[in-house]
Amino acid sequence: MTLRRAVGAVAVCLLLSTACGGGPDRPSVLTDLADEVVIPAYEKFQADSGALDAAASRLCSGPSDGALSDARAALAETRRSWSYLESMWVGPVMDRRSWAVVRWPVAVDEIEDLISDPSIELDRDRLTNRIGADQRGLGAVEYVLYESGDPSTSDVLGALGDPRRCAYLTGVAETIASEASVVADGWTSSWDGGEPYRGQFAAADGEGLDSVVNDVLFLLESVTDLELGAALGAMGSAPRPEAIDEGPAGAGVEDLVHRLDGARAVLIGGRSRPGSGLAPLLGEDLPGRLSDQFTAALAAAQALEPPLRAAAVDSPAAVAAARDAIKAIQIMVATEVVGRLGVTIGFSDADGDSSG
Amino acid sequence: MAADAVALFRIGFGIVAMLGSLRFLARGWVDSLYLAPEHHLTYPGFGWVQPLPAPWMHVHMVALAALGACIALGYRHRPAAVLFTAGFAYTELIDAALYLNHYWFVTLAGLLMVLLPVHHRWSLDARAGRVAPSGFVPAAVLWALRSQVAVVYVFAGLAKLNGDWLLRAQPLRLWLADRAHLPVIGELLDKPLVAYAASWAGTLFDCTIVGWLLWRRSRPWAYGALVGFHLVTGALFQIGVFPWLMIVAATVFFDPDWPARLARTVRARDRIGGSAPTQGIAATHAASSGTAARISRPAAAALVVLAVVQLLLPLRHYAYQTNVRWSEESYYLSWRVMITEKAGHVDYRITDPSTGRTWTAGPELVLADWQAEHADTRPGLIHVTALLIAQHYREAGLPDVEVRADAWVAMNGGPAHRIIDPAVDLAAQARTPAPDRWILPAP
Repeated sequence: MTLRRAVGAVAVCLLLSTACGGGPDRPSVLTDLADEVVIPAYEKFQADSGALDAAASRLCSGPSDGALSDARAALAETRRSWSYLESMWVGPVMDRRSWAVVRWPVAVDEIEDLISDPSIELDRDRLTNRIGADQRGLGAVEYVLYESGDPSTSDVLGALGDPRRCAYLTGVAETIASEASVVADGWTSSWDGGEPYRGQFAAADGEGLDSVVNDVLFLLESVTDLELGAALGAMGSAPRPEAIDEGPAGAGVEDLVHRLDGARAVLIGGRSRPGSGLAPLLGEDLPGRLSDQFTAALAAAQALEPPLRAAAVDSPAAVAAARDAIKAIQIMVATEVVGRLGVTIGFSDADGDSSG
Repeated sequence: MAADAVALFRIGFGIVAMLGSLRFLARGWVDSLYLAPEHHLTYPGFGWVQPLPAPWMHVHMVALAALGACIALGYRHRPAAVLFTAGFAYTELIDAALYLNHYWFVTLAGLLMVLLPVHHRWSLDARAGRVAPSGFVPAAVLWALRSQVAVVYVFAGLAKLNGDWLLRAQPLRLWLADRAHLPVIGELLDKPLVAYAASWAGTLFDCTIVGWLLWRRSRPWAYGALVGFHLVTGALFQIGVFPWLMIVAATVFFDPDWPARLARTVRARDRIGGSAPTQGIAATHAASSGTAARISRPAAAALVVLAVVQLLLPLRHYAYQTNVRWSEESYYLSWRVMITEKAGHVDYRITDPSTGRTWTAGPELVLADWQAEHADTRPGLIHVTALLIAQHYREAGLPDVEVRADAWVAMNGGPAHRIIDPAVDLAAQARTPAPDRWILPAP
């Protein structure tokens, strides 16, 4: 064989191996995403909310500074794990509209009305099914653990001496833990008589992939435009710091970091497992560039001085820098990730023969 | 020549037109696509075309379906064809985000229905004596229809002669991978080799199918391949009635009397099978023959103009010197059928010069979500959106806002690049057919 023929044969082999090989198939990537990222995240949320439930019960059975501190720590951990999950709102959590139980901006006046009305029994059915989403969830727990309900005093422990206040706290914590168990179990066992969601998620009909990418996009858009953008007054109206959902614990920065961490885990794997998530479907260069951008955005977010609402007022330039870094991720996801995955951001089911 | 194939084309066109209109109604698209949006992304020079208020837009669509039926039946064919074509063109002019190549084909075929004597055979008009019954038409009638179909394939094929399509198998690689969940063939669709094969086969098909259809010996095989091609693409992609339209339209490449021949063959088989004897083809023609229906002089002149326009429209992008797949200047009406995948993101920066204040708005300020999805990747629509945003603030008491676009597009799975010059105030740019300097060059 002449050198020319040998080189030609090698070239043909390389071409064919490139052309025939293909990348990893979507079902296996989605299965890995479920097993390595999503299900562990839901299981962590389940464990954390269980710990919060237990800590709330301990606090009410024996109020002390230590018990209060433990309950606050458990709340912080639960809030972090819920924030991390925000890019993974697919399956049971969507079917059950779990956010209405777990976290919704709260109306503190209505919470106080509920606690102070002795005619209302604060049982599980009431707290799960018969009160508004703005009277329960992590925001409600945060309120009770940080506010006394009486403007004249900041004595949270003293306020918890009210049995109804404690019943409310433990009841709400219990509903969160219960909801967390159902949605976590729904991935691996049936919660509604159907198949476990893990199989459906990876079934490669495109819905699981579309859903998580749209979740990531929605999260990024919410952060950049509806929250930070609005807080900074960058969206046309006057600055509205209250657009940031942040309770008396002042954990907006921490929430933001964990929300970004969750989005990163979906797209390119968690910090401990880079290269997982959807990265195998994104080609060679994009995961690296996404990683760089996430690193920059996380650094900018972590540099913010809590609470985040105050930072939007006192350090708008720093908040704007974080917003710009997150916006850069949003643009990469909306263009390159969506383009490479052929994901439908679709709003119209009309025909299309005109891609051009 | 025999008018059978021509008459069948008319019947098929009318049926597809009718079913397409009914499908549009049944899916609720009149409401979601025409009535719900607060604004429409109009074509340059056609800003005055707006949807009728409810329920008249629904009535309009019902009327289109009825007119399609009239065309199929040959009932008051010419006025029906005129009204259908005008009415259909009106619906298509309302919103550029709804542009589809096959809608343009329907408009052109509708024009041919107006200009050509396709209703002298197998029509209620002929039966009622409103037109002279005739089993023959000038050869030009058949060739006009064939040319119309040929234009679609040839220019769609030429549009595929680009590096992305042929050398990177894009965007088919992306699109086919997204169909990997389909049973049986799904596993194959994820393979790059399949995408390459499909890209090259598609190009070869589009560029040569007209020749194969014209050559009598290859015609049946070519038509079979055409049916297979359109059924497969129809199954893989959401392209509506396009496959059925082309399957029906391509029958004009058969001999002009093919329906009669087919009927004769079927009858001969029936006789062999012991069925009762039926009339021969000669008797069939005898009942309807006569002098050939004629093309009037004005119609002939209009056909010539239509032919020239159709040859020029897909080539006009040479006047722009941009990558039409990126800039989409001269993209409409040029048969660039499914050749590019684009994903985009646009933020609009609004500046009030009276205060110097700048803020951001998304396209959803003035557009429905489905409109924004299209407007994120097409510079022309980004421009219209900027104008609508300026109008929005004008109506809100800010008469002189400047609107700039922070617009990014990724094409065929590549990296994202800016597509609009972020320094240019789009609200101050006129909509003209001239090349837009604010569109940044393709990467």
